Order: sequence, then C-alpha cells, then structure tokens
Amino acid sequence: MSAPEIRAMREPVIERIRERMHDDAGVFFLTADFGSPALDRLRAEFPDRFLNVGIAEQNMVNIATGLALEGYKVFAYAIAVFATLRCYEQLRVNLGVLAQLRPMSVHMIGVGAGVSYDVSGPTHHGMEELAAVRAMPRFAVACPSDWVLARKWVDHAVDAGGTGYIRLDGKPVARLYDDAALAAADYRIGFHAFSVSAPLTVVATGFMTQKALRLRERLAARGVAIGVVDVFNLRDPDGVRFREALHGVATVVTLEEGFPHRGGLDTLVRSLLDGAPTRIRPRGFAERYTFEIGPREFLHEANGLDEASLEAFLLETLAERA
Amino acid sequence: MDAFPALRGADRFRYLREKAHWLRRETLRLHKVAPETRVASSLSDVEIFTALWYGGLVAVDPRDRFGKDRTRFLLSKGHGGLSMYPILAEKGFFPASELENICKPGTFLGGIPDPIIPGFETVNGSLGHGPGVATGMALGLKRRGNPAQVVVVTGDGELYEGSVWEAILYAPSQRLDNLTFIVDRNDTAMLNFTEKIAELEPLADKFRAFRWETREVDGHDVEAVWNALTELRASPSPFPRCLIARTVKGKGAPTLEGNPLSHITSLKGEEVDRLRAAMGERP
Repeated sequence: MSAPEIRAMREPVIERIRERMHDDAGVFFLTADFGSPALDRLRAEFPDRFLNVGIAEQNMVNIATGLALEGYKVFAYAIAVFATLRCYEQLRVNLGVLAQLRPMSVHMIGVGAGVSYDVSGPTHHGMEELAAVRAMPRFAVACPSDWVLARKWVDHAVDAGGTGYIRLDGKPVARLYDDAALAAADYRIGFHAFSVSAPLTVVATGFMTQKALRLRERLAARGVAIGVVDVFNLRDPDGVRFREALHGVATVVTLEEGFPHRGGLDTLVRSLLDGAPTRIRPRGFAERYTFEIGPREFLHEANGLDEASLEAFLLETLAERA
Repeated sequence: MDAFPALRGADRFRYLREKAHWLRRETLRLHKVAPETRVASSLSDVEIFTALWYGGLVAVDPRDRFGKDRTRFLLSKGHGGLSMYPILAEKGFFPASELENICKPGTFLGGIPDPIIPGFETVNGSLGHGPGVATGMALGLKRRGNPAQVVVVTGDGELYEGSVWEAILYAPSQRLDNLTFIVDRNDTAMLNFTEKIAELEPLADKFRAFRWETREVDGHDVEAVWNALTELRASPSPFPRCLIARTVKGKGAPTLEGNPLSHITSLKGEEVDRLRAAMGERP
C-alpha cells in the first residue's frame, strides 16, 4: 500500500471554497486575521468577497449575519476555540435564533481541533467547543477525520445553506477515505464504518479516527480484530443507519479529543444507541486542562490517550467481555 | 397613507409632532395592556422612531417587507420596541387589533420583539448584535451596488457591550456611508445612570475619534432629530453616520423621568390613564 497523502485540512477546504467562488458570485469569505497559503490566493482572486475583520470574532459573526441577510453565502474562518466559544452568543442569537426565522447561509470554519495546537497550551486547545455548538438546535456540526472529507463538506455547506461549524485539525493529516468511501460519505448519514467488529468497535471523530485506524493495525498484528467507525456529522447522523451498522456489537469505545461525559461524541453515541444492549466505554481527555508542553502524542500520553495506553485499554476491555 | 412627502415647511414638523404625541400616548396605553413591557425605554425612543418612520427616512413596504430596496431598520435595543408596535400596525404590517394582545398567549407581539413580528429584521434585545449585523448588511449592499440605507438604533446601556465597539471600529474602515447608527442616549442603563456605572462621555468625541460623521441633538425634538438625520444622510462624508439623540428615559411619565431604576419600573394602570388624559388628544 502506498503511503497516504498528508495535507493540512484547511488548504483543500479553502481551495474548494475558492473554486466555488468562481462559479458562485454569492460566496463570501471572512477571516478573523487567520491565514493559510490557500487563503492568500483566494484573497488575491476575490478582493471584493474577502475580508479580514481583524481579531474580532464577535464582529465577524455579526458581519457574516448581515452579509447572509443580504443573500451572501458566508464562510467565517478563525482558530477553532475562538470561532465558537469566543463568539458563542453571536452564534446563538444570529446563526441559531435568527437563522430559524430568516434563511441564511453562514458556516464557521475553526482550525485547531482538540490539541492539534499542542504547544500553544489550553487556551488554544479545542476541548469543549464541539459540545458547545452541539447544544444549539439546527446548527450543523462537522468534524472530519481527513482532508478529503473536510473538502467535501464545503460543497455540502454551499449547496445546503443553513448555519454550522466545521472543525478542522491544525496539523497535516493522512487521507483515510479512498475514492469509494468518499463518494459514499453523505453528511446526512453522518458516519462511515471502516469496519465493524462484534466484540469491540471504536467509534471516533476527527483526529482520533486516524488514531483508531492505527490501533486497528497494531491489534491486527497481534491477531486481534476491532472495528472502526468514523462519525463526521456531530449534530444529527442518521440514527437508524447507525444502530443498524452497530447491531450486535458488544462494546463500543468512543474516542475523542475532548472531555467525555460533557456533551461531545460519547453523548451523541449514547443517544444514538439508546435502548441497544451495547456497552459504551468513553475515552477522552482527563477532567482537567492540559498544561504539559510537548507534541500532540506527548499530550495524549499525559491523558492516557497514547497508542500504547489505548491498545492496552482496548485489550483489557475485550478481556472483560470474554 | 404617508402624509409627510406632500407637506412642506412648518406643516411637516407639525405633522411629526402630532405623530410623536400620538405614539407616546399609544405607547402608554399599550403598557397598560402589557405591564411587563419596558415602558421607560420605549418612551425615550418615541421621537427617534417618529422621525424615521413618519419622516420618510425609513421606507419599508409592508406587502414586500424584505424587498431589496427597503431601508434596513434594526432595533438593537429591542427592549424599547413597544413604541414600534403602533407604527407597524398603523402602517399595515399587522392588524391593529393585535396590539390588544401584547404578551398574551398566542400573539407574536412579545415584550422584546423578534422577527416573528412583521417589520422587524433581526433578533433584538440580546444586546451587542445590531451594530455588527447592520455593518454586514451595509457592506453587502455596497458590494452589490444597492443604494438602500441601513439604520440601527441602540440604547446607551448597550454601549457597554464590547461587540458594539468592534463594529464602531470596523465600519468606518469600510467607508460605509450607507449606515446610520442612532444612540438613544437616555443616560440610564438597568440599575443606574450610565455616568455612575462607567462614564460614556464624551460620547460624541468617541464616535468622532473613530471617524463617524456625528451629530448630537435633543432626542425629543422631533424636528431636530429629523433635520440631523437628513443632514447626515446628505453629508458628503465617506464614513458611516452617528446620531446621538439626547433623551430622557421614561419621557412623559414623571415617576420614571430621573429615576435610576426606571428601566425596571412599570406604571400602574391608573397612572397611565392620568398621564394620557393630561396629554390630551393633540400636542
């Protein structure tokens, strides 16, 4: 197998937005003074539909709302925690409450899911924002695990309209979805089963899906099979299909870069599997902010989420059921 | 329907004064219908709304209320919205009979207006949204070459919200001469006078320092309000416009005027009757 192509999610996402701007004069791009090489090109090609509003996320959402009320399809781009938590009241009042009464298309793009800004410390770690935006009704929440899926979401956002948030990793990530899986990935279905294993299947989102697939390889080398399901629509994946896909699975381990039991992935999975006999074991960050300095894997290690610890946890969990 | 355009000179301002008088009496009457409404905030903005909506400065067709040519009118101080209800009813946005149902089950006329009410553009009353949303609308209109105007009204207590200043900082940099920001400067927030909470003055200097084309007027002199708004609109300045309307919270109700707690004070029904009787049918 050839090595998967590794890319930072924001590059293909912004490239795709720029392409859509070519055929749709209504697409508008706002940034809160946050950049990328792809954005330099977008800005040069579309000076009339690009604005840097400065480090002012509240104003960015308000301006996005005003532009959307005038018919523009707006993308608003910032670091993940600031694109959501810094301006949560603006999201709620304008992209939640108002959007229910007046149709609009505004999609927040947040870069820096989980601890992808590892050495920047807890101010820049996206640990709660996924749960926070999930609390709003009607607000789309996308958490892609690779860059081709992230790019595909742009088309969904432009074509479907509405309001929502896409959570992008801050680090380059491997491509996980092959052409067939990507073609089948549908935001309304909201998840993709890479494999399902009846004794234990990991349900993960974002970067943790990358990790889950590596764990699957490690365990396979020891002759142990696990399943991996990637959830990329964190608001409303298709519950019927999800229950069907996981039918007969004894244990689901949820994996997220966030605090478990706080409204993120594990909460979603619990609600989707409500009434099923499946045992759910959530794994995420410990109940504290992480001040340790070091690369992502080091921070994972500090929280028991490094590959070795997770491998041991999965083996123990399997043994419990045996 | 709208008499103003056909009138000239002093007749115009007599007409506006009559409308303001009517609106103040109606606002008081509706407060008796729904005592949970914020009457003091709604009495300070009467002349502002009158100048805008009866002086030809806000044009919205109730039969095509999101028409592209309309004036975008945003009432960011939603809590002062009671005095908008009679205007919208009178202009045909909804039947006048609905006014008797304010805050009653099943109506769309709440204590703080939302766009479930025909005539309201945005969600209001959660403070700190109107100026930024208005900036986005003004920007969108400019980019599309649409000459329509955007008018946003805030209170002065709302100026404590940081997001308001993000918009005040940003709008001039985009040269949004199609945007007018009106501050209902009634000197009073919820629990105290603004200058006793954190000084807002010198307020006009602050707007001017941010490059807004700024005027200050007696906000209860409807002629002065209309003249200032008209002058601002005609100004050659490339920057957005600001009108600071110096008003009295609870204007026309002596128990509210000068009361630091007027925001959360309601008037008893008998007091409303007395005030309305004393005002008389005409100014």
